[in-house]
Amino acid sequence: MQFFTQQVVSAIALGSVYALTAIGYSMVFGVLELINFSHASVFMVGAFLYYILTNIAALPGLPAFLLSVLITGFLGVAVEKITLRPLRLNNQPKFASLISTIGTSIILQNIMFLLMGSETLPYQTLFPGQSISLGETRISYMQIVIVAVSTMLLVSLSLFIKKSRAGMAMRATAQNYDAAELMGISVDSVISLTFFIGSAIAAISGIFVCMNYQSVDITIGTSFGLKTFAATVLGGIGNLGGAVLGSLIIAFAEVFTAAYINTSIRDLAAFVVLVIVLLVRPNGLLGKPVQKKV
Amino acid sequence: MALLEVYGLCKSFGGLAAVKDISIMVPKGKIVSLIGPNGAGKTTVFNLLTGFYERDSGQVLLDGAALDKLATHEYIQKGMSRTFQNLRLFSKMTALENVLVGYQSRMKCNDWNMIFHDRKYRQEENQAREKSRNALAKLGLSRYEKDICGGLPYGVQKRLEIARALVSDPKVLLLDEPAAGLNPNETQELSKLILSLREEGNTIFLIEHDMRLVMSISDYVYVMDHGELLSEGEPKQVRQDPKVIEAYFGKGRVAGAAERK
Amino acid sequence: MKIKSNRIFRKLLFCIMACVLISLPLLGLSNFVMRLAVFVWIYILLATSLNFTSGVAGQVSLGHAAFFGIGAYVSALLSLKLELHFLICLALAAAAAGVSGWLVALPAMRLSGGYLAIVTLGFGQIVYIVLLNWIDLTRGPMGLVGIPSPVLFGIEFRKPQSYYYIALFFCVAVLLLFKNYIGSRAGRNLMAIRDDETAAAAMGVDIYKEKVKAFAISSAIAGIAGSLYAHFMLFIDPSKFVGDESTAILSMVVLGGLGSMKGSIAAALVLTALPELLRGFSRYRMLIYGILLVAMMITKAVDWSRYSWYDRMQQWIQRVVQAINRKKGGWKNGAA
Repeated sequence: MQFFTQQVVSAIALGSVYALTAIGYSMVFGVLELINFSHASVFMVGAFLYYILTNIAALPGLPAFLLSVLITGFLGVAVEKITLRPLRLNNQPKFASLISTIGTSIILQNIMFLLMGSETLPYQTLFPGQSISLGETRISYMQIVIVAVSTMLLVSLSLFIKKSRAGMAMRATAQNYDAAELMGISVDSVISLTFFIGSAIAAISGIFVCMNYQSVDITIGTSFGLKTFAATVLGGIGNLGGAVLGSLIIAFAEVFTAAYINTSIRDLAAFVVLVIVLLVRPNGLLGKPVQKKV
Repeated sequence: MALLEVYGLCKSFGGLAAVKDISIMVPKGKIVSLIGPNGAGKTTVFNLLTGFYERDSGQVLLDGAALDKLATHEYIQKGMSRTFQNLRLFSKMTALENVLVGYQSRMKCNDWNMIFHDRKYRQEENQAREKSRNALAKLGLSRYEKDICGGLPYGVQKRLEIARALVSDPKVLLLDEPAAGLNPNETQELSKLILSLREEGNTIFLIEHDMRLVMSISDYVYVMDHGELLSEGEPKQVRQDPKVIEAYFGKGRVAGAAERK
Repeated sequence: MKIKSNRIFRKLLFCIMACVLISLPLLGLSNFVMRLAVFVWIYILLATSLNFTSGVAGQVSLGHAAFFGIGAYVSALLSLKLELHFLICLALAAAAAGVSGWLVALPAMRLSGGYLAIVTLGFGQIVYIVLLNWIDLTRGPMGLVGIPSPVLFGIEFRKPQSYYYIALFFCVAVLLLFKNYIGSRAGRNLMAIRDDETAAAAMGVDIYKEKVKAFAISSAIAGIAGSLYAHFMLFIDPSKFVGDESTAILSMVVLGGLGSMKGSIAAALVLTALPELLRGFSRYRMLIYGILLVAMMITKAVDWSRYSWYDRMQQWIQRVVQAINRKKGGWKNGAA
């Protein structure tokens, strides 16, 4: 029983981190109807920036954290401006944008590889070894921080999207790109904002993941990227609540596969869940089916 | 008995009735038109007749045989071939290739024939090319044969779409607003063309906005508004039907305003 | 007149190319160059087969290396454990890769663009994890060693100079049949699907069936490439069949111009040979592939239509030939 609750705690922590990245996918898809393959690499770059700032530039934790989140946010904006905007303005097919994001993902990954090498590096965590005990279950401070910050971010983000002017512009763009433009919404800045928020949150998520495992290496982009994407699709892409739900399911599937079956196939669980969901409900658990226009 | 018979066609989207109890007869060798204001549900009727939407109720008979439970791609095999309101050509293929795809439902070669280019394949391919070239010639498009169609002028693309729908020798040819976006000269040519297609024995079912075109070429006209049939008859009768005049010309101005008061 | 000279020109070019390709191993080139030549053939198969699904049919796949890997492992295991003949291994490798492609496509082809890319990416990852962890069968990261070289007509094709002919034969045969297929109704239907699915359905194309079939065929050809690779290297391990490899193949297809078979062949040649020929370049290989993908999209250098390099090159050469002819006339006139 103690082992079981321990797994539940790690799954919840992992799930809330996944949700942060998943939201980035979901937001970009909502606005551009595009699966942004570079998101996973942005996530990885965010995690590495924190490593660089703390270990090499020797900054203290909090400023390093904020700075890496900010830089990653702007990186996301730059990525969109350079690799996607020209295609969008030239009315290139979705196919072209998709390939462009795949290329961007590889570029970011390999720049990091050339700068940092492929070894696993130790990662500074906030509260090494500190934890509280609830009955027999141990919950580390880091896990508490992760869940608390993630929840706070998710709530404030959904409030932002629902209530604020910018959020309304975002929703309008997601509903109908052309109409939003005609109504005087600057679609370009809405998209930039979307990429900024998505990327910044991905950086937070990346830093948390690496703090949790106390290590970082360049493959985290690929494996986390795929799993969080699986989570997004599972919940219903373009749906923020769905992203959270899907993330929790994927995290549970992964943690329990590792705990009760075999650690080396933990990554398999996420994909198996993804394939099953796509077979049964291609639009995800909370996604709505789309009526095709003729 | 008409070639295409539609009885009590209904379709609603999320509780909103888009097409209500529509019955239409298209006799062989005639031009029948379906007209109506924007959003009347004309294109929905076409989409129901060619399998893009599933109908809620109603019956469709082609040459006496019911068209039921077919996948979208099976309709052309039964003899229903259509064009689209907004151009839907294969824009990165040549004009000839577009028409060849239009003919593909009549081709019978299997994958082995195609991989090894055997005699059966070559015969069929040559026949297909000949048919397709004829269709292009019929619409005056021969000189565009090798051009990538995405770059062709709008009017040419419109005609190319008709060629693509025509090449499979359909029993009924469904044209969705063929004159939309054409200038008066091109529209004039188009009406001659449609009439000549009828001369050759084709049966044509047409959706159109351009009243003058419809009235000058149609044998029979159906008028739709808000998903319902408003009126039907020969062009002359329909033109004088007060309900049609109200729907088309007087809406919200004369009659409508008077009624509200 | 123009058409006739064009045909003669084509035939001439074809003959010259055939002579060069056949006599390549006899020119006394080093083992290194001949190994590279074999790799080029294998990558040409991979690129043209991916071009079939991603370029011709417009379905982006990010898991092509997985089918390459399935072909390689099936072929290697069959010849190691059951000691089957090379040709049977090759055929079964193609079948295994084709069937797995078919099984992936059954659910995946119900999905559109980006989703499909994700599913294939995920599938590639699954295959990699399985190859790495099914140690009883695949020996995991240690890889399979001692894969036998093919023996045909009593001759062992072990050295790159001789194996080159095996690669040449199978690749050219597959490419010719493939070209037939793409040029026929099946290829046109796939292009129609790529350009407009709705209109393709209206023209009677069974979109789902055609897509699944295309994906299975493309996977089977990747399986053939895998078998050719395994029996040439005589050693395989999972690291060759990772996601990066899939991306590398996709870069070739994109560089060659999506949908253009000749383009894919040329790009496979360039992108396989360059990193090997330039020393110290291999570190930057993937980075350059990434830049290529983005740059090709942004500059719109990719010709979506089929004005491939070959055609343009041919036009250019023709212009030169015409210029020379004109010159000749000029000389004659001058002489007269």
